[in-house]
Amino acid sequence: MIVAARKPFEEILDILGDAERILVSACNTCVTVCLVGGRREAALLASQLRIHAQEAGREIEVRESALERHCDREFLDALTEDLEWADVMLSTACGVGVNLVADVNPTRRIVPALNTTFFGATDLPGRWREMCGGCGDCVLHKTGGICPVVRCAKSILNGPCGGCQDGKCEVDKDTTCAWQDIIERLDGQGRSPELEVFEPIKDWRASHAGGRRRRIVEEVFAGDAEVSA
Amino acid sequence: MTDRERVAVVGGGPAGLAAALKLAEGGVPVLLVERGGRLGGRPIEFGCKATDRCAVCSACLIAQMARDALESPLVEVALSTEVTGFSGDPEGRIVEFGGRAEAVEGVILATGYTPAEVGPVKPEYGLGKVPGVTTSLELDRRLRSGELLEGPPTSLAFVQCAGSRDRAMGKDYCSRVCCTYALRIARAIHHRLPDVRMTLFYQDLTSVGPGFDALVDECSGFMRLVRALPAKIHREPGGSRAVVCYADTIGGALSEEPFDEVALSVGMWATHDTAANSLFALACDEWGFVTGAAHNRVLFAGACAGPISIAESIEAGRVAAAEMLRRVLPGPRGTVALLGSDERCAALAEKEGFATVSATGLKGVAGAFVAQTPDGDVPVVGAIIPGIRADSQEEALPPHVRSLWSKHALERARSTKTLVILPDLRAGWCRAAHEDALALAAERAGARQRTWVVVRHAFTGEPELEQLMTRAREAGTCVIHADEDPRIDSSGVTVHDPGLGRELTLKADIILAAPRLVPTDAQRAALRGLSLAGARGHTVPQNPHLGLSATARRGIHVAGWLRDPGSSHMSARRSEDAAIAALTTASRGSAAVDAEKCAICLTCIRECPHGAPAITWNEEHEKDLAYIQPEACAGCGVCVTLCPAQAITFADYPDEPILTALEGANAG
Amino acid sequence: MLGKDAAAFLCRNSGALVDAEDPGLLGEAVRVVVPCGGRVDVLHLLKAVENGARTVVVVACHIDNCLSLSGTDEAELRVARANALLVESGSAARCAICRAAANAPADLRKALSEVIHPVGARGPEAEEVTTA
Repeated sequence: MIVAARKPFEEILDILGDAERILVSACNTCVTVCLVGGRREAALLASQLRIHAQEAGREIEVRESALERHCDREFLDALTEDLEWADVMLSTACGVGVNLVADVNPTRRIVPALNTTFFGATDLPGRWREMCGGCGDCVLHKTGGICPVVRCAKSILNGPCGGCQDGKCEVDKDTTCAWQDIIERLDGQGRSPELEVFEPIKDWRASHAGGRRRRIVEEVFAGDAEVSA
Repeated sequence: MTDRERVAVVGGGPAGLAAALKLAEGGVPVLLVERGGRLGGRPIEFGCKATDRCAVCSACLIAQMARDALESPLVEVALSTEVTGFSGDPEGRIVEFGGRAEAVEGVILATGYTPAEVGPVKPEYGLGKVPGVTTSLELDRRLRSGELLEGPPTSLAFVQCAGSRDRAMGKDYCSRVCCTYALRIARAIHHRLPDVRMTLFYQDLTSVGPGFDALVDECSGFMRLVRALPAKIHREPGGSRAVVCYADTIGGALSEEPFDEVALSVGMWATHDTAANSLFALACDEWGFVTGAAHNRVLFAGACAGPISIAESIEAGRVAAAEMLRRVLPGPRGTVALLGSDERCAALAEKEGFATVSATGLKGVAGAFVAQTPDGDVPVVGAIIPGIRADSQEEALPPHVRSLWSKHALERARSTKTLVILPDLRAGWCRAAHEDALALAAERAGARQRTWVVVRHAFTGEPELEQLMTRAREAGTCVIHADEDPRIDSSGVTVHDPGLGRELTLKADIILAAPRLVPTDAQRAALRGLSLAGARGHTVPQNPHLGLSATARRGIHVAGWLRDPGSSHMSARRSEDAAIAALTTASRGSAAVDAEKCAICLTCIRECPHGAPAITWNEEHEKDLAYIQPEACAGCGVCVTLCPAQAITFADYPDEPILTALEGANAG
Repeated sequence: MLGKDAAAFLCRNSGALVDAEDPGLLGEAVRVVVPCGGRVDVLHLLKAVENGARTVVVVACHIDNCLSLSGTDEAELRVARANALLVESGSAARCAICRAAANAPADLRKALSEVIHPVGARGPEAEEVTTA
């Protein structure tokens, strides 16, 4: 899922500025599962904003709403009435949601409460770790399922660098060296010889370095002209 | 259901309250008659003995049950009321009380006990004459109210066995609970008032439940435990303290020690309620405790039947209620899985109307259990892991020593000439080991037979044990209270006898000891598979609400020595009884997942300690969503407060009234 | 001890029973009875402060005494989170957990006195919770 972290409260206050009518809108998908932007967390943030205003002697009004997802237009209709009322919408969805809601409501101010960070999995309850870099040219079949793009700090493709110490990445001792892990994984499966196949330089055009990516399914895509802004 | 006649419960103490609530849970209306002006019996006056965690004494449960009884629509409470008549002919049972007469389905007697009145019968203790001499109950009362915190003594002595184990007084039985009670009070006082110097005078230390060895260890760290009972307590000449005169059985010296206060640990005496005894045609033992009731719809439970702990009393009330439910609402109750075979458990379950099946594993949760058996999967209402010795593994004993529980060794031991039994050697505080050791010793009355039993403490807490001890001694057994572990080698058993003040070497044809029992790998795997491996090495969490058999997972019970490694045969049976009684009725929590909002984040499944939530197929929404099994739900609300989608509602305690109440907190 | 500007969440098996026996302990605090300490939501704690409570106590059962086994431990975690959010939002760590049992009013009195620190004269500003 997409994993995010809540922006520091001070930064959120800075972003909101003088706004007096704040709509806090939650998303029931990825950010709910990683316990940062679902209904509960949005409600807590709203409560914090009201308490802060009380302490500062300001009058503000905070409304809360929740959508199933912020990344499909059909769910966004429910926002219309609240957006007319609000000075700003503080989204606790991921950056994707902020983008789409802003695209669909170009005259409204839509701001993020979260810093969207990575694609990750719950490897233990309460811990999510980055698993995929969205590089667009997946090599996981060659690395025993361990992503060298994001699990290696240098995103290298042909074995560990010289900085690996006791199986840990030199950048962070809580992170294991991805390439050590890949070697052990493939060893364990009896597939070590595959490591000797040289992986050429990655075509990074398939990642976001190549510009904004899109995917179209012809069977259902009706073309741009049919979609209203 | 209201056509049904009620069941009368006589006595509003722990056993009575537990019985009343259990009957009500089963849908049977109850008339709870209490002689006194309030519910709670004796322990309602006990204080909390928690330190930084609960002391697991169960005293606080009484107030909770009293509240539940008063709030229950199926329980009528009649206070300050006595039962004045009972006629139980086959046509019906009529109970007369407080000027009324009513037909009832049956009666459960839970009339309790009287704290030993040692003042007049043991004047040498000075109760009522010597300043500072009080009782453990009075000390507890002052702890509860805070009086003790405001005016603590500098020095405090506990004197055990006041009114118990005293042949001269005609009370030659052990009251079982006083050692644990006194040590818990001492620990509670030490936690709140660390400067109070405490001493405990005892004959033997006896346990009544799990964790006793840890309690003794902890108390040994801050107080003196002296094996001696005082001969006399008198007033300090020229002062106001109480002087305790005793002969130290270890050193032999005569001592006189002053204390600000001396608390006599008073035992449990029968109430000798001759009116009730004749009214209900009760049979009593020589000490006045109830042993039987002639009428088959009159049952009895709790302290009226003998000295008992609060936890055991509560379970006894439930067991009696379950027995009554079986008579009032007969019919099959479903199937119970026994993990590990136990004939006794099976026989009990069948008596209560359950079918039983021997299972190797269990899946699902309460309300939806499936037992895995050699013949396939069977739906069951619950599971019991009986925790019997035969299923378990004995740890190795030292060379020259055989197991007390080995059939072969026992056969030889019965007829051999010299026998030494060391029940404490490996098993530690194990009451069953003492029972079996003394039972064997008592059989050996042959003229040429010599038997020694070497113990650290002589457990006396089970009714049979005191008699066994007497019979063993009369058969010629020599019981040595050692204060250290004995040495064992080819020449025999060498033990230091503190009474004689020297070492003895006992030559023996056979040396028997009770090995420490440990779960087999299969048992361990089963416990792990059921997510029952508790914290701090306990098989089940130590929590008074779990009673004698329950675990974190509703419907799964652990009994016998697996629950309490030191259990006696009686306490093992009690936990089995409790397990089967618990399976009679199921209570339901009211947390429910709103399928519209569930994000299937798995938080509720991960956080619930009872295993109630699971991902299941939702027919209406045609997808897998979280679902909370009502019979497994404990109604705590933790999932409600953690669900990130706020998708779980709690019908009994919804959010709206809480938030409304908080709006009233605006005082600014 | 506690004024109208305090809110108290009471587990029905401990806090509520002690309160019934000695209402003076919690004074004029707004009471909310919950089935278990675990029912207390971080949101409830924040709402209490939003509505003007200067002190919020959760009175729950001792560790190992919870009827639902882990509710009292969960309550402690909720209190910690609420305090973190309150401090972040410019308020103070106004929430505290007090462990009590139905049969220990004296213990609750002591626990309350340890978490509530009277500062100067009485009044809404006087009592702040010192322990997070």
